[in-house]
Amino acid sequence: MATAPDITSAEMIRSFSWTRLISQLLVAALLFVAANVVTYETSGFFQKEHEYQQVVAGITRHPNVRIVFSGDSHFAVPLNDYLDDNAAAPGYSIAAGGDSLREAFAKVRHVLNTTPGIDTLILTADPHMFGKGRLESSNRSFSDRYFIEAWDASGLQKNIWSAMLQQVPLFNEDFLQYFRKDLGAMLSRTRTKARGAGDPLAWSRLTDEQRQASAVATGEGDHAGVGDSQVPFTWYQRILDAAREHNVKVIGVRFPVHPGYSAQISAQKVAELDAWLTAHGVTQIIDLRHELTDPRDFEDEDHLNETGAAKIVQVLETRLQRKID
Amino acid sequence: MLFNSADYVLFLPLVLLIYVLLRRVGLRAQNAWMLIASYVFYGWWDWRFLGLLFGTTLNDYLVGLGLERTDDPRSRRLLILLSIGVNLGVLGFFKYYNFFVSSFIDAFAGIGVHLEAPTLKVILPVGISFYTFQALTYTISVYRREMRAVRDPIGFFAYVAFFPQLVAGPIERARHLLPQFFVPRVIEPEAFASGLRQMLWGFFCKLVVADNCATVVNSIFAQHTLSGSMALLGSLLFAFQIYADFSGYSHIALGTARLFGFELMQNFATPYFSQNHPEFWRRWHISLSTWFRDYVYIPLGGNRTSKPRQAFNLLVTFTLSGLWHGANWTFIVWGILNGLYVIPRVFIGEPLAPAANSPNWLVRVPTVAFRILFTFSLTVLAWIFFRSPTIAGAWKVLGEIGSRSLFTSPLPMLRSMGLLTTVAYAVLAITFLLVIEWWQRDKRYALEMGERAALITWPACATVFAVIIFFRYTGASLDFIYFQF
Repeated sequence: MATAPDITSAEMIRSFSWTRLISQLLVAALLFVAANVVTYETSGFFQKEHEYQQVVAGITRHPNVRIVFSGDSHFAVPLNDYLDDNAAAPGYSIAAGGDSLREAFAKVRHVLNTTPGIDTLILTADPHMFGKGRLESSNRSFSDRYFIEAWDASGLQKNIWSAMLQQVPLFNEDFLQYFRKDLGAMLSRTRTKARGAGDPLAWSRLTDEQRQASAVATGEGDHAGVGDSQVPFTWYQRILDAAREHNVKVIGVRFPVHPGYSAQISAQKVAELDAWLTAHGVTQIIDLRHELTDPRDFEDEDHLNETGAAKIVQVLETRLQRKID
Repeated sequence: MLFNSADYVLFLPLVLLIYVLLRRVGLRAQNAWMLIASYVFYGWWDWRFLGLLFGTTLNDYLVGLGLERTDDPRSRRLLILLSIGVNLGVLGFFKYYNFFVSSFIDAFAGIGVHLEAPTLKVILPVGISFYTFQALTYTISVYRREMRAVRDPIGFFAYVAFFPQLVAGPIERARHLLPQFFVPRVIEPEAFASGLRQMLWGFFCKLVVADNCATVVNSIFAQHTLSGSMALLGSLLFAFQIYADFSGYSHIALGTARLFGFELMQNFATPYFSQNHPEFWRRWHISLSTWFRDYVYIPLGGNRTSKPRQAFNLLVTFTLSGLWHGANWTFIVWGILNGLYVIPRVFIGEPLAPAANSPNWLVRVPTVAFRILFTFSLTVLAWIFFRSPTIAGAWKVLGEIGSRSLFTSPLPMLRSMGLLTTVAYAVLAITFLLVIEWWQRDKRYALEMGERAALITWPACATVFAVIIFFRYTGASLDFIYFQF
């Protein structure tokens, strides 16, 4: 056979040892680790991730917890502060704004596997959770760790190894999108302040017409494509299966919203959803969408404020005949 | 397995570590390990096609031994025909069966004869066009007595399946790569560092340039109605997408191979800085264009014939090159167009060469710029056929580019499609690519640093790494374009 080809080039002439290369690579690796640490500690994205996971981890500080709430911002906005600050409360919310049923499943399974004593799961039965806007969640990567912990690739975008790589801050694609968006907003100086941020009564200060218009617009968007995809139903089923495995009763609940918001989904579609939920293991459906009507109980068209939270928890306690707070 | 996947991040160090440890055991052990790793790499995509890879390799291995053992010209001819027949037969069946059947039916339908013939749901095995061509270089070289047949099956099988270049090249010559499997491979730190840098550049090309361009290009070409400006933007971005995608793959392949002590042939040499089409084809997909030169053009007579015959040979070669890319008339037209670009040089030579080499920079610079832009424009025109799903689609894009709507702003449309930011990233990435490649145009790859001090090398690499981290495309993994060929 012929000899190996000549691979000598100009860059290979100078003396260059393995020791030098490895030491340079080590320095590069250390710098990369440092960059990741700095990114993790300073980025708003990872602060959000930390808070998201802290809500789930916080259940361990509630020894008396028996009832767990799981859903999106409709639960999280009024309940998380209201319930989770009270360590003695039997109710605890692991809900998070923006969660889809995939994230809800990941967290419910984690909590049921790690927290003994839970007997009831109050799970969102909101129609918008079955809409096209909830096929993918902005919290996707926050909940990946629960799939990795369970060594379950079924909920991951690619595979477990890929999800593990995404846990490295600078390799995290969701962080990158957040970073770019933040950078874009900073450059164009278009940061917008959320309506009424810091004012719990901002919603009640709007006129009826303004509230109606806002509720209709949000309701239309949220309820687009409800029931069109099987994906949310699959995740809901998996939550019900996980609950059944742990002998946990599942109650479907809808919290109060503005009538203009709830009117964007037909009664027939809601009835179809209810029939599916009941047929698949939800023991009771409590529809409280029209329970509160005073704008002072709302943060906006589809979220209660703290006043509303207190009232609705009382309503729930009455309906369930047991203490939550 | 994709180079740009998490699987590869795990696969590569693991394979490399065991490969280095096996050095103590011996060369055959290293080759056997490389063979196993390559089959795992290939089987990751679809293990069912490992049998096909194995079968064609075995055929070529046995043909090689047969050619070595006989001097009878008739037997040798039969053996080489067997190798060519099996390789091209497999390629023809998996890649062209449906195309030829449907084209045959369409041709008869054109004269009013309606035929029925079965088409099959054939999955194209990834990399088949590459490894069959690579295997053929071996049997043809043995047939031409340019090299001896290989007796060691492990080394030969590892050569055909060598994972860094198995699925998208470079299409190696047996005489260049195969001997490297039979001499102890020394991994030098300089070569190792060079391999890492070339991989880094490849990842930049793929993840930042190609994938950001791809998002825009795919959206634009999916539109039913396009303005001329959008069509032009899509075509220009596609030119850079395909370049960055394929050259990126090649850089990663070459870099990976170098980590293992192998040296593959250069596949791209800043082709968009070419001043004419013959030059372009000496710089673009070099391993394929030289394959067609060596095994099609030269056997047809090459340059040693009359000028009209040369032109004919060129046209045949480029048409076949187009057909190699895919079973679609769009690729054939693309090949013919490139042939037509090259042919005038046979007759008129290089009329602008004196001006392009003028000592007066006021003459030289504009001439060179004009030649580069002219060559690039013709290349983009041909890419439109390459990218479009049908000939009619390509004409439609060309029609829009030639219409008044070319002078409308694409910004409102891009904004409504949510692509404005991605276009900005893509344009920035292309600018970065062009500047660095122009600066380093005499090097094999943009981050080849020669004897430059670490003070320059490391910040340069860190900058490219940071650009990859912050400006890479995010979303579902996009396959390398050339996987489909």
